[in-house]
Amino acid sequence: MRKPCTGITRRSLFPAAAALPLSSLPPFADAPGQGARVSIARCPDYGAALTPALRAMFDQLGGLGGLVRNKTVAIKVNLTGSPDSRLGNTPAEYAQYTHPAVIGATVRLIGEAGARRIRVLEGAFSTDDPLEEFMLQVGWDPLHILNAAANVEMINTNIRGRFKQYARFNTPHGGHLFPGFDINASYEECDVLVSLAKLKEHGTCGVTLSMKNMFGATPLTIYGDNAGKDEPDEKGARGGRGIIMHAGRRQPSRSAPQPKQGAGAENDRWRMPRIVADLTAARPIHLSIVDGIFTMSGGEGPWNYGRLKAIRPGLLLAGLNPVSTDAVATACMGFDPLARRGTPPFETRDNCLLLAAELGAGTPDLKRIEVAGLSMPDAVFPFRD
Amino acid sequence: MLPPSGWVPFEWPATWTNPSLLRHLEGGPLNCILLSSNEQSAIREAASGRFDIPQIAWRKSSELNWKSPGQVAAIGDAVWPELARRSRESNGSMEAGPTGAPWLDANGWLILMARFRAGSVPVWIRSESPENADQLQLANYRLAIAEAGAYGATRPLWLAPTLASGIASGNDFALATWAKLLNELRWHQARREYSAWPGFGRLLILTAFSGANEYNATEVLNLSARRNLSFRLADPGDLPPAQLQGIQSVLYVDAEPLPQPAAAALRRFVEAGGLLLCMKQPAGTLGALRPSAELHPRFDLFQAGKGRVAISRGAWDDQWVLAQDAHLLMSRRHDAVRLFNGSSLLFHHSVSPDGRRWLVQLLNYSAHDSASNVTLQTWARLASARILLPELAPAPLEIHRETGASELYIPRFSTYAAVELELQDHA
Repeated sequence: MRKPCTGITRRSLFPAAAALPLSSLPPFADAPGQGARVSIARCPDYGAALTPALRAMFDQLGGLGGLVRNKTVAIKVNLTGSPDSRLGNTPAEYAQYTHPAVIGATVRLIGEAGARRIRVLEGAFSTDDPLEEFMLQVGWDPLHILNAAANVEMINTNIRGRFKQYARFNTPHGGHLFPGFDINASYEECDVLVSLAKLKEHGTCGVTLSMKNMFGATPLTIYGDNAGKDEPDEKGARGGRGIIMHAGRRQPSRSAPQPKQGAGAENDRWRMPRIVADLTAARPIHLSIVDGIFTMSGGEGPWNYGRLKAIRPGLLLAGLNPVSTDAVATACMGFDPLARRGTPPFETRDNCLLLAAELGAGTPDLKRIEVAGLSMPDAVFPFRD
Repeated sequence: MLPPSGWVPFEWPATWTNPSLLRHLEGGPLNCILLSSNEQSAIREAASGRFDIPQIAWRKSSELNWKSPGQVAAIGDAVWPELARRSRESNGSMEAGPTGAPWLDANGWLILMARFRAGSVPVWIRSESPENADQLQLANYRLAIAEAGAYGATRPLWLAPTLASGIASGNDFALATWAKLLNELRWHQARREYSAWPGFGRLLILTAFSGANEYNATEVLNLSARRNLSFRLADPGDLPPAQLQGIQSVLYVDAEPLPQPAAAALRRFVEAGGLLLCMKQPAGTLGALRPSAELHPRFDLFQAGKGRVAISRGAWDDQWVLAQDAHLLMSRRHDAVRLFNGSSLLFHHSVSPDGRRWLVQLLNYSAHDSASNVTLQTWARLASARILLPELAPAPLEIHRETGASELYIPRFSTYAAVELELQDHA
């Protein structure tokens, strides 16, 4: 049901980290320097200013051409939760979902930069429906994205789909919790992976940005509440990822790498940051983009309890390293990206940025990250009073 | 005294033995009394001449003689409408239906089927007393009244024993509940013309409801309704071209070959751009089809003219999957309205006879929680919108224009709200 990843590998991105056992890694010591540049832009809305803003940001990162020309590019978007669910009357794209205009503009610019094929990916909430149909359920017209460039397609990665098998990605140093993941082969059959996320807080991880976005890549057939016991259940793509991933109350399909057992493994605020770090290290992200133009504070979706609010930071972020990009984004939200458990936004959970750094996936240390475009002080939009 | 279509019936409680209790009906909307036994002869005598007192033969829907149902097509095995009780009692969390959303016990599909099969005969529904009868709240009764009315049927007003005895003994709370129920009935009665508006749907479900096909057909209706997938119904033995107007997709449920006139009409429908879903055997009557490059896990796809034919590879043994396939092969692109924050809601969509207005009736099956922050979205261009809530005057709704769509923010409501939309463009 699986095959080893044969595309771009973690080793090629993080060679120093890959050579060392996890326990011997000093924090941030092995982060790739050139990947630590992050671009920030002010963008007031999803109108005419959006595409020029993104173009300028990509130019500040060295341009898209070298990254995507003649390549297959996979774009993982964030469509978390039910398509029928809204924060009050606020459309999902103005609160919890990556806005379709940002997806469309990114597709357009990647297409203009010479990508051979572009795939928009998401493990859409509780369903194996085609991703286009999921978007229609949200009230979006997917044609606006499909027509933004040549050779664009969409794949719901909750299932194996058209591929013969799942692709396996092993976590460097055995990972914190998961030594590897079996995920849809579209994540292997691509040259460039883009994580197109939303700027949000998160109930169990503190923040959800380009790293946490990848949690939705885990297929429901293996990691979902109705996953097969021994093998992926291709008819079981319903429900969430609460039982296996959040709670650890059962294991993923036996055919996939099994998580480690031990202290803390039954606490979702211990588990989830580690899963996010493991995923980030196992399947490298080449380009992180964070939509913070309109978003929400207080959680990752309308289902969270507490001080949820639709907000308008008017920000876009992009970077070539997900840990660094998310660190800058975390700082833009008014938090310390190096904060340990006990400090906002990580009051009751571990900091997935630090955990990912331990795996050599990048640096969250702002002193080691070059910021282009809008300066950090000008970009801060406190998510909490 | 009145034709059956004018009856507003009340199931006289068995414990109401005193004819003086008829005073509770005087001047109200109830004009028809259903007596449960001959022992209520004193009531019959006192009510005679003031109220209609028909004898209704209630039948299971599967046992009704649809060709000759009687004065009314009286379905006795409807469900008590609510968020499925078992859903709320398992560890306090909801039990999901096949959709992943909480399961709703609902009768809309049953009423639509009954109205289609009974022709011009009024459709009545009733249910056995629910297990939790004495815990029913005003919202439960309101939903029962509104659900039947929204889909164009009649549910005789029934009272749980505790409420009935409370009214009889003059309990203030019971009397206040009774007054509210009568007001609710009055409000719906005043809007009965809406029930004559034909249902809106871009999916046509084609079935004769015969023999072994009946189960498949009724389950598909039930599960399509749970998806809020609006449909219309037609009989393969009677498929005039007008039945296919405005239709995007036809689901022929039955296993038998199509009658020749229907096959010819469907061939023309497909060639003009429509989608037909059917089993293998009936597909043989459609003539030559070109294989399509499109792949589907459960259907072989073919082309004819501008349209498509989807032929099921296997038997239809999972009607939820069939309803899902029908919906997705047609595409949600053709959903005329979408609801947000409406997991406990179903809606009935109908259109005015002149085609200028839509009516979307929203029913909240959760008696415990009001429907709040509900948004109705449509891609149709709207000139205006207004909301109708029981006991309140109609009020205009602001139209929020989003990219390519219009959205209406529905005010918080308990069990029922109707939204009337005036279209800018209409067929």
